[in-house]
Formats: sequence, structure tokens, C-alpha cells
Amino acid sequence: MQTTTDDAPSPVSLEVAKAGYLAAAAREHWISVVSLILFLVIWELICRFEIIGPYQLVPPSEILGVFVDKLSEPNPDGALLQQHAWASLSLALAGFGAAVCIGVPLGLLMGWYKPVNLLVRPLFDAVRPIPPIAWIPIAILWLGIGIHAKAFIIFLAAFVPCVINSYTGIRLTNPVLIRVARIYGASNFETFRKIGIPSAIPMVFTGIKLSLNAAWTTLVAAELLAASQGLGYMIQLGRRLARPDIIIVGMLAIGLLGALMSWGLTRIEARFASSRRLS
Amino acid sequence: MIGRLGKRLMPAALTTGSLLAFVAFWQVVSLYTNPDFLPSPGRVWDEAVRLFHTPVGGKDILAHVGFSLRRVLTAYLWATVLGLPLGLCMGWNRTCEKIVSPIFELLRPIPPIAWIPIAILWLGVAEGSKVFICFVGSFVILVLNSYTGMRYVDPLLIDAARSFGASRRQQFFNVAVPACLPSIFAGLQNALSMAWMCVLAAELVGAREGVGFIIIQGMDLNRPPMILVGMILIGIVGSLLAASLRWAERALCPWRRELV
Amino acid sequence: MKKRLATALALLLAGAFMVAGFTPPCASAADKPEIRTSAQPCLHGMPLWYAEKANWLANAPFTNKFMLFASGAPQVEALAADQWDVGAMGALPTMMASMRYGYKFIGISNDESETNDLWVRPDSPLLKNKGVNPKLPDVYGSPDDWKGRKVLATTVSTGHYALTATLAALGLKDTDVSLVHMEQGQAVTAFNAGEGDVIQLWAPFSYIAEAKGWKKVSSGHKAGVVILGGIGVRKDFAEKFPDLVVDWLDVYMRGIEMMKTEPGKSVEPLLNYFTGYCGLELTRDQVEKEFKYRPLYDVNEQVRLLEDPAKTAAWMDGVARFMLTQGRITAKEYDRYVKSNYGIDPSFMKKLAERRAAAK
Repeated sequence: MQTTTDDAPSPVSLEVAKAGYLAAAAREHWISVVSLILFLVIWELICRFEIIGPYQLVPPSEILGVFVDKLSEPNPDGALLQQHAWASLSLALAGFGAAVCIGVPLGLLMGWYKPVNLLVRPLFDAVRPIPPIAWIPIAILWLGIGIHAKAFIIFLAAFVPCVINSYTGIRLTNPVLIRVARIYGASNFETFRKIGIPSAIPMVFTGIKLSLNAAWTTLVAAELLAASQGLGYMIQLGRRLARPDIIIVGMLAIGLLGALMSWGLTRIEARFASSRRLS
Repeated sequence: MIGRLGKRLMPAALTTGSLLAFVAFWQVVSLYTNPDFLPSPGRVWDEAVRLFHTPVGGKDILAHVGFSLRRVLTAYLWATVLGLPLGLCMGWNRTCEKIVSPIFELLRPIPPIAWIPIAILWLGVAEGSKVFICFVGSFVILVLNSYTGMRYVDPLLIDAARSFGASRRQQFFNVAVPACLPSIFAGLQNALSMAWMCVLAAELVGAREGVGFIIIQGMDLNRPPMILVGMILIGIVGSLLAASLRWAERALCPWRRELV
Repeated sequence: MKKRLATALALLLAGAFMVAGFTPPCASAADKPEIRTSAQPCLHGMPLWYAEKANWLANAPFTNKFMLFASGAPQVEALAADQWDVGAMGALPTMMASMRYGYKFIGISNDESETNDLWVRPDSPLLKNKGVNPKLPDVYGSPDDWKGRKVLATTVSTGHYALTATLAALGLKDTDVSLVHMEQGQAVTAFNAGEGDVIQLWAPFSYIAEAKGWKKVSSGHKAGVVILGGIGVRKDFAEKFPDLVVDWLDVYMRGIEMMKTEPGKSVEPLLNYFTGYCGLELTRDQVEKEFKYRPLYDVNEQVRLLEDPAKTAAWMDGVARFMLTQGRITAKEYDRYVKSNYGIDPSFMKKLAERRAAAK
């Protein structure tokens, strides 16, 4: 979602802030509960009194019904909610996985070895300012409308933050540590492996999280343009049939899955990064 | 003198060099592929020249850029005017945070692009829906950044101001807000690039003008060079937008320079 | 410090004004009300565009604002947001618009049963079998041939109806094929690049397909359905300015009747409309086919067709029932649509007929 620039907000602090405000929320959560209920009630009333027409917005009570129905009812968009979700999820994970597998090592190598940086940098810098979404039409031309084109677009989107963050992470390695390693006779590769990589881990994880976000957003965009299944396709069809209930259910599913994946990644990070620190 | 000048020119020279290297690489690859798939840089250049002289869909290419920019800037200004105060309020005032955050947290994980269908249903395919999408994209980032910035203002600063007898208002405007400016600016940067991406997505899904339309039209006419010209144009405008904001930041908060 | 913040604020405001100032001024012509006409890159989109060029509007009591849409679905969405008043679109979008927004179906732009068609590449296995359903001898492919094929289609369009009708003729449903949604021009490009097995098109895109050597495997007509192009008007507008609608219809029908009676003379303007205005790339003989495949109706024929429950109403019922069996609309929506007489309102066309009769 956010593209990292060199002076992007440190997402580490974003995470800390979120944890902070979740903790605070627990303390005075009744205000939040009231506010949320009020929000839903107002939404419901707006629909009940038809301030906004039934083909523009549907009340939350109905959304819940449609959400449950969609789990067993393929109409009107031709597939069940879980089928759409699975189609999107598997695509996003394919592109994202490839981006992490290629992007992180590349970023680390670029940060550590000058020749790699000189070789890759021009390509990377030329491609970076173009948002991944702008690639969709040309990707359709090159790779068709199947899984390849979409995986390519997601790959592009997820690749950039992976590379930048790994690069920055390893560039920020404390030079004292490097010098200490050198003094004890470590080779360049050993220093890279034992000092550089571990110290870059937090930044790398931040990058991975940003990439997951970017992957998910871009996937939705790709599915809007051409698809036969997937959550993006589902909301697009809801649009063409003027069915706001389908659209909103799709949006909530997209949001929910996105949040779930971020949460999962945070858990993995907590476990992985902390064990790293101990060793 | 020469040394200083050299230092200044160094990054520019590097960028130019790397761009040239990229174009050379592109040229080599295009020699070995079907020109329908990857047109050579020369053909793309010719197409760019052609597009600057002939209108696309009734408007010339700069008018298309103007359309997209207008959407982005309108949405961006609204997002700034509404998002920054909201984020700052949430960071400063507990009750405000408690009221807003559950609704905000509910809507935040939905990517702005997923709003496109419902925005079109609400506002039609004209300007409104596109501006709305860009607004959603930049609003979320702005709120989040100003909120975090405000939460992480060093309490010592506030305490110091209080012990010197600053009123609550003075603490807010003279201490807290300036202290979180760096975070706000980072948010402004990200929000702008987000808005630029969103306008593109919205234009891809349905528009008769704008930079997104250029690449869709290139696809409609089966003209890959036109798509590439559109992409390059999008990249250039996006970079210029980011650069102008960086410049504004340097002009407005010079103390940041020491940190970077 | 405060100074800087003030500067920032001032800059922001200045920016806001600049953006506001950017908005192009609305063209307000002398006194005449403006009617916003929506159209597609299609034969039935041309009349008002040509009327402007040929100066037919000089004596008309309105000015025209022309709006082009790639296909019916975005057109319906723009209608929902009150962005246009009158226009022409395919049967399916017309149905959706009537069903959702009370859009009035006031005339028939043309019969496009034959120009909504399905194409394959010349080496497609679908071409091996023909006329598996003996009632529809011109449809290619057996159910097994079709099953699981990737079809590039503009969903919720009149072409989609032709596709669904073809599948139904073979006892299949939408879900038996892999339907990929794309807009027409993009679908042609993707199909050309080797994507998909079948492509759903409508004229003038079908002529591009024909020129590329692709083979037609079915069409609305071949699958046994009648597909109308509808002329319609936004509900509020029809209620507020019924006379203006008739005035507009007069100009529109003049265009249709010109194409009906003098197709030879109409080729040039239509070619200009496609290539010059819509940005399509077509040749003269491709455009000539437009008049061969599309039956057009003059005002008196229209009145008869619109009022006959066995014609227009029955044809629209066919569209709606297909959507119902495909699960795209619910039974409740269908019933309401039938009750509203399929959104058909012949009164404007009748008034026009009377007006013309009186003028004679």
C-alpha cells in the first residue's frame, strides 16, 4: 500500500503505535464500543429511511445475511465467496512469495557488494517510479490474462519494498561491528552472513510487510481489469449488476483477509526476529 | 570549489548514467523480441513525439496529464484538510481517539482500489468517484502518520512547556505540532504517491481522459508503444510530484536536514 | 515557527484555489436547455453526433452535450449518478437501468441480434461440430466443445446475453465456461495475443475480428433470440421535460431514418464517427456492413413494435428471463420489472408520430 521512499515513516514506529493504541483501547473500550454501535445504527437508519437508495447502499444487517449466503450461494457472480477468496489469496501469495525470494537476497547483495549494486541499480531505478498498476495493460499483452500476468504485477508491486528495505537495512549495519568482525579475521562473505544479515532483519521484515500490503492492493486492481474469479472480480461484477451488497461483502472480505495476513506476518516476525536476537 | 560542485553533480551524473544504461539494456532486449511485444526505445520515442502532436481521444497529451493532476490534487487537498487535523486530534485527545479509531480500524484494511466499484455506484463514472478513490487512499495514510507522530512526541517536551506555564493550546500548537512535523511530512509524501497510484487505477477502470486512459487506449488500439509512452509519462509525473514535495519540506522545516 | 506554519497554510489555500480555478467553465449556450446525450462507439451512437456536425440542431429547442461510453455498464452507472439524460444502449443495460433506476425505454435504435456475436480462431475445435441443437443449425460446437472454454466477454452487456443464449441453446450455463470480463477493445487485443478460446464481440468490433480471419461461431440471431438496441431517457428528466424528450427523439429518429433510407450516403459520416471521434480503426467496407446486418425502424414501425406485447415486451422478457435463470438477478427483481411493463414507454414515440402527421 505505501511505497517506501527513503524518508518514509519508519513503519516500526507505526507498529509500536498500533500496539500502543490497542492497549489503550482495551482500557477505555466502552467509548469505542458505543461509537462503533452508533456508526452501525446510523448506517442502518440511513438505509431504512431510504436516504440513500437500495441500489446504492444496503444496511449492515443485510450485509451480514448476504455474507453468510455467499458462502453457499454462487449467484449472481458465479462462484462462492470462499472460491473467490481462495483464487485471490493463492495469486497474491504466489507473486508475493516470488518477490520475497528474489527481492530480499537481491537487496541484501546490493547493499553489501558494490558491483551488484552498480549492475542492478539502473534497472531498478528506471522501473521504480512507475506504479505497478500502470503495468497491467502491458502485462496483459505480454503474459495474457491468466495467472502469469497477475503474478507478474503482484511481483512488481511486492518486489520494490523488499529490495529497498533490505538494501537500507544492510547499509545501516553498525560499522563498528563490521570492523570487529574483520579484526577477528572474518572473510567478507562471513561478515555479510554473520553480521550484515542479522542486523538487517528488522528492516527486512518491515519491507516484507509493506510488500504484502502492496501485493494485496495491486491484486485487486488487476482483477478489476480482467479476471474470471477472485474478490476483485466479484466486486467488479457487483458493480456491473448494481448490487452494493455484493460489493460491500467483497470489500469486507478483502479488508479482512488483508488484515489477517498482516497479523500473521507480525506474529511470524515476533517469533523469528526475537529468536534471531537471542542467538 | 570544483570539489563541491563535483559532489553536487555526482548524484545527477549517476542517475543519468544509470538511466542511459537502462535504455541501452532495453534496446538490446528489444532487438531479440517481437516488436509487437516490446517496442524499441526508438519506436517509443517516435510514438511520444507523435502523441505530443496528435490528440488522444480528442485531447492532447498534456491535457490528459492535467486531468489526472487535477483529480489527484483536489483529493489530496481534501485529504490534507480533513485527515491531518483528525489524526492530530486522535493523537492529542484520548476521547477523540476512542470515538474515531474503531470505525477507522474497520475501514483501514480495505485497499483504496477496492473502493472503486462502490464509489462508481455512489458517484458515477465522472470526476467524483475518481477523486473519492484518491481521497480514501491519501486520507488513511495522512491520518495514520499524523496520529503516530503526535503519539510519539517526546513527553519531556510537553512537560517542559507546561512547567514554563504554557497553556494547553500553546502546548499543542507551539510544541506538539512542530515536533511531529517530520512524521507529517513523511505522511504527505506517501499520501501523494498513493493518490497518484489511485487515480491511475480509477482511470484504468473507466475514464475518457487522464493518463490511465492513454494506456488503456493504447491497449484498445493494440499499440504497445503508446502504452509504454503512457507508463513513462506516469513515472515522470509521479517523480516530479514527489520531488516537489521534498523541496517544500526542505523549505518549510529546515531543521529536518540535519536528521537526514 | 508560527510564520512557517502560516506560510504552509497559505500555500495550501493557494493550491486549493488553483485547483478550484482549474475546473473548466461550464458552457452555457444562449438560453436553450442542454440535453446530455450518451452514446457508444456503435451505429446507434451516431445520430446526435452527426446532427451536431450537419447543423440539424440549429432549429432544435435544445443544445446537445455528447458523452461517449465504452459499453453499456458504465453508461448505466453514469445514469445512476444523473450524468446524462437521453441515450442509446443495448438491451441488457437498458433492462438493468429500467430495473434499478426506473429508466424509460422509449424507442428501438436497431435490431442487433446478428451484430452481437461470438468468435474463435480458425484452428478452434469448436468449428468441428455444427448444429448440435437441431433447432439452431447455425450454432457451432457441441456442449462438450464449449465446456471449460475461456471466453473473453464484456459482462452484463447485450453481447453477454448472446453468449448466454448460445450456451443455453446447448444446455449449458455461464458457469460451465470460464468467463473473463474485459472491455471490447482490450479483449480484441488480448485475444489477438493468444488469450482465451472464444471472444464475445459486437459491431463494429466484429468487423475487426472478421478482418483478422477469426470465425463466427454464434450470434444472438443464430442462438434464436432477438436483441434490441434501446433508446431511453432518465426517469426524472422524462417527467420534468416530456416535450424536450420528443424534440430530442425527433432529431435522433432523423438520423436513424437517414441511415435506413440512404445507407450509401450514411457510410461516410459513420466512418468519420468511428475513426475520427471514437478512435477505432475501421475501413469503409467494414462500415458498409453495419447497414447490412442491422435492421432499422422508422417512427411508425417503432410505435407498432413498442405497443405490441408480442414484440418489444416479449423480447425484453427474454432478456430478463435469461438473467433470472443465470442467477444474475433475483425473482423479486424480475417480477417488479415485468410489472413495470419492462420499462417500455411508447408515449414519446407516439407523440412524435402525431407531431409529424400534423406537420404534413
